Amino acid sequence: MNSFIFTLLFIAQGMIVRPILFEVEAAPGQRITKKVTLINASSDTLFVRSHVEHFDQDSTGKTLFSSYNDNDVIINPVEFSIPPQDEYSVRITVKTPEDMSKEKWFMLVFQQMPPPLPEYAGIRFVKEVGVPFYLIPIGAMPECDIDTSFIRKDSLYFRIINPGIRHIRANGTLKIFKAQDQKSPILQKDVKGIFLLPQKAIYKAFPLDTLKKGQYVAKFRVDFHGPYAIEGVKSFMK
Amino acid sequence: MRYWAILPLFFLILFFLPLKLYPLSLIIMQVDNNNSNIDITFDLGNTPGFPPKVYPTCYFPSSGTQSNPNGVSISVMVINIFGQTISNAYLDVRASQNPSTSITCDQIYWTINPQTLPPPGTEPAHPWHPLTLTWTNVDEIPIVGRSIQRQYNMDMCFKLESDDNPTPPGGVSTTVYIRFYGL
Repeated sequence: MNSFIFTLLFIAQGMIVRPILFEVEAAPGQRITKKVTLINASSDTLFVRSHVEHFDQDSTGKTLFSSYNDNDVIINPVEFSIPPQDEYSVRITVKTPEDMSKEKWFMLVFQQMPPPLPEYAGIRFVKEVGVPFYLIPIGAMPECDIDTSFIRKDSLYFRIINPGIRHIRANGTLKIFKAQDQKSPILQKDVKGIFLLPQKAIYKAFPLDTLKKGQYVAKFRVDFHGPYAIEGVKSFMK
Repeated sequence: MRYWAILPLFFLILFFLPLKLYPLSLIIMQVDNNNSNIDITFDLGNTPGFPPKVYPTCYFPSSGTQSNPNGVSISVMVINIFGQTISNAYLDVRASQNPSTSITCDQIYWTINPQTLPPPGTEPAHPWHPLTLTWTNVDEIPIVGRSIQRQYNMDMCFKLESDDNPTPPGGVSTTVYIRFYGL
């Protein structure tokens, strides 16, 4: 498989990390071991330092990183080097909490370290690749809801919440109809890549400046995890 | 029955079966063309237009990276074939420290694509963004399909202010972390 990747990526340079995420269903107190493979597809030796960070999201969907204070994740080894056109595998061991009332998550960060130089003046760039790790309670169902919608500053807002105990991924479609004709939309907009951690909410805003004065009905449908879908409806006057 | 008719199907199975059994999902990240010394410097003493007539005045780096003389180039790619997938990929940036007590990291500005310098005497405005000590999102990429690729030529400029003290003989420095991840 790795020779296949090298063949596929013969033009690639830099740092390759696989996989791009872990989603593992886990029981309380379970010990889980996974492997992350880093490939150095460049002509220089790659020095890597790895660590774990906690992450969260605010109401705009922005990711907020902070230090990870639990000691239940072991990365082995933490620092290593990869010769040019070679690969290295890192082992991740996680012990799930005894109380798995909701999902646990963190980010594995692989930071490329520049080789030590004497003094330098200016800006030095360091690249990092993050791999999210989600530990999902067994049988946890995805949940999603639209609990609020309102108009503010010529934009229509829908608040999407995840009331469940596991993260969700969703795609949305907004359709705006004239109030007297709700068969064919006069405006349609797709929203790709909605991501929500457990117990989090985000606002999605849709500018209405292209609409003329009149009475409208907006229907915002959110599809998540295959067969599940919800819809929020808002009537408004422009 | 003509058996040769099912040959294309056979080859399709031969190609996709290993991918189904061993899903391929990976991130490729490249900053500049190498892994070792990705540095830029602002040596204003040797820069045309220094000292400035008005403050603030912005300057491009006196020496950029191999791939972008005014900053750094970043290339990212996500490939996902039959693997667990992410919703979005994110590119974030932050500085490690202020270069000195009088020169703060928010005097260093970046843009996602090449731009002209802000006119002398004016504060840099959108699309120039100040560098901060906390993570700032550079780009958010919805994952549609099996792979995505983005190339950024991130320009950087330094905003010289009237109260900036001269730097010591060895100069001052900061590290810029560029993080790529999916959620």
